[in-house]
Amino acid sequence: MKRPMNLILAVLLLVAGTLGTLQGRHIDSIREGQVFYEWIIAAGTHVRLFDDEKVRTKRTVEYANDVAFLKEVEKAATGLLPDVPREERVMDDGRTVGTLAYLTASDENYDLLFKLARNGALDGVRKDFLARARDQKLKLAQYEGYVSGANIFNLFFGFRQLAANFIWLEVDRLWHEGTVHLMVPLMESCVLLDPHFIDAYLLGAWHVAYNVTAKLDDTPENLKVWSDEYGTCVGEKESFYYWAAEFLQSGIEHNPRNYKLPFDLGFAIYKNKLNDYPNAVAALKTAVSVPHEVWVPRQLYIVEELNGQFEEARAGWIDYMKRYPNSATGSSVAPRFVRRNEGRIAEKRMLEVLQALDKATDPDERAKLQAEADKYRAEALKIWESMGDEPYAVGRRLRMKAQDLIRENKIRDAIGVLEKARWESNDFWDEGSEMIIRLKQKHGLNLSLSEKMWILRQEGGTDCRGMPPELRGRNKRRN
Amino acid sequence: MDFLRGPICIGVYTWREGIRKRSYIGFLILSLLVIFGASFITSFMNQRMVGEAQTDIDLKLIKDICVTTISIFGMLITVFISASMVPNEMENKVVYSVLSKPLNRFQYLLGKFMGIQAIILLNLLLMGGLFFVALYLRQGIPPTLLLWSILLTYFEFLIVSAFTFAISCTSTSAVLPTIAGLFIYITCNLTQYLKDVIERAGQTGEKLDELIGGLARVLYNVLPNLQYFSLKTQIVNSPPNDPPADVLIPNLIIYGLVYAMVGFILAYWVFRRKEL
Repeated sequence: MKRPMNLILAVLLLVAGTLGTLQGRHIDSIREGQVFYEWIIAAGTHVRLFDDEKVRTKRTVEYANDVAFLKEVEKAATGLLPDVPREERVMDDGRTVGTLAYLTASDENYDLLFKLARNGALDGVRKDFLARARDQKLKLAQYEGYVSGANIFNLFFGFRQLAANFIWLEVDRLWHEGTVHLMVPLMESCVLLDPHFIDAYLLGAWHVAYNVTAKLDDTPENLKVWSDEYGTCVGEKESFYYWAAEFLQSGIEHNPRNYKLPFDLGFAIYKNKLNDYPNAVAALKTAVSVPHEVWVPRQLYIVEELNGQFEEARAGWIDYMKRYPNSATGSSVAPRFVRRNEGRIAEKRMLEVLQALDKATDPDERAKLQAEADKYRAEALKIWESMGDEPYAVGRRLRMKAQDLIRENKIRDAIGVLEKARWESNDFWDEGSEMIIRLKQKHGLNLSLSEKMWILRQEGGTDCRGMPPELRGRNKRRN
Repeated sequence: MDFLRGPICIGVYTWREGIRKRSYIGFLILSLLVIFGASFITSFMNQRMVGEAQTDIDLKLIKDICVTTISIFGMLITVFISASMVPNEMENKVVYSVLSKPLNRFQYLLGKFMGIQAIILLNLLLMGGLFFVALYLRQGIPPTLLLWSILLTYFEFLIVSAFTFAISCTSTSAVLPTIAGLFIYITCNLTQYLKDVIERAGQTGEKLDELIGGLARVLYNVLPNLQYFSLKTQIVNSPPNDPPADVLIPNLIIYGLVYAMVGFILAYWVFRRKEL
């Protein structure tokens, strides 16, 4: 009895052991697919949002291998991917991205992407990916401890997240000590250990962009130098802003389903710190494309307005009113913004007609255009008047009055009105100041010292020392 | 059904005996204190705001500390309980009187193993329950992903428990199986290293190099890999409906069950040959 029982047990053990091995291999293959899938999402997000071939920065150089390999993957996956028309794959900035990168935009496609990453037809490409990732040739895959084999990640017995937390506590301590320069490498280690540590990206970017720079002066344009790292002209202070922007961008690549990162990138860095409204709009559009809080789209509409996209901003606020009719913002704030944008749309159309009027020579056409311009002017004025004493509307009304005075050649009166307008309306300060300076310049009136300095800064343009000749005269980089 | 009556009685008795153990109670109290205290750790941090906005950094810290606490203390309880149940009965000679009843060795071991699993589950329910309530009170919505994390933790413990149990069947004292249990946990967490050895083997072209590579391949395929279960710490902080996690969870459950079966067969093989 003993021998047959031993044999039975041996067979059972062998069967169970083999099953365990097979199951282990199956899990290995799923995990390989998981790493590949996570890399596809990170690389696709990078291509979709941040990869501008026209601007070479540290990131575009570092991620060039990832971008090139994503194209290889897409080529290998031809026939496995759904057909997405080319026009749908055109981004807001005019770039056309590949289908794979396009699909990473919506989490509804994540199931499809995971199936693709595990698809047997892509075995060769997946093996190639794992080999490249192991050799650290793919920057966006290096965060995945699984592919790196023997490394620090395994030392934590799977508790990498906890290790990242303890490093973060050290960052907190350094912050209180005031040794902020020591925080940056620790913050980078922290997100290397846990690339899904959202708050580390948020707080890290905020510290660097806001607290580190709090006592630094803005760098005058003529003192800025070209930075190959960020692909733009920077001074000491601005380099911190760009560092923060790139830290958040790296967070977005690893966490494309989280709205907080693109929101902070768009609002806290691009809008508030860099006044880079086109990039702010792009980042905030990314934030609203994933599940988000109610206040996220509000910032998008505000930035769209600042970027001169009044039609989009107006449509956004109307949609907001429909979605949240009972909220305080939906019922009282949103209608004001709708009116504001309607006023600006009328002003914009008036300006377009006046520009056409300047070019027109035919008297009939001129009369027609003048009538049209008057119609838009009346429409805009009606809107500003309907908004009563709201500073924004007061500023716009006074601006219109100043333009009337300019047409009547009452330049000094117009400057007086513009002075009043910029003090009445905070939003009008920059525009009003520029109008005053231009008027004084054009009509040979005395300029104040600060106005002269402003002119000098403008003449210097946004070019800086060390800037590549082919980029001179360009305003802002895309990201 | 008659076959299961004996194991169930043994299981209940094992469970009662286990929950009275001082080491178990001590670890459990300690772990509950840490889980409870995790909420206060974040009070020392002042970086919970980005400008005017509140961050979730304290919530993440609590989650990570609690998941790790459950894993570490749970693992210690698993090892101590699994290592001591059979050797203690041998030391006290209770096993002789139990096996003189109409109960075979398989039923005895099955009962012991079931009792041990009941203790591990109770421990996980207590720790996980407290953590669940703490998180629920803080964030206002039931943290359902936590339940998946706890489930995966259990299957990780199941593997450690089964192999420790198998070793405990060879011993008459709890010391050796306890050390072996801890060793199993550490070794099985480092199985991933073997993959790296396999990848790099054969680069020199020497026989020894290839031999080491082959040995690493065998060990990698045979030894359970507890790193697979690191998913438990990831899913707590990740957004719901993550396709890889959805596929991995059922596969990890099967993996845990299969290796538990291997451990239990080993335990029975050793125990049935034991001279009692």
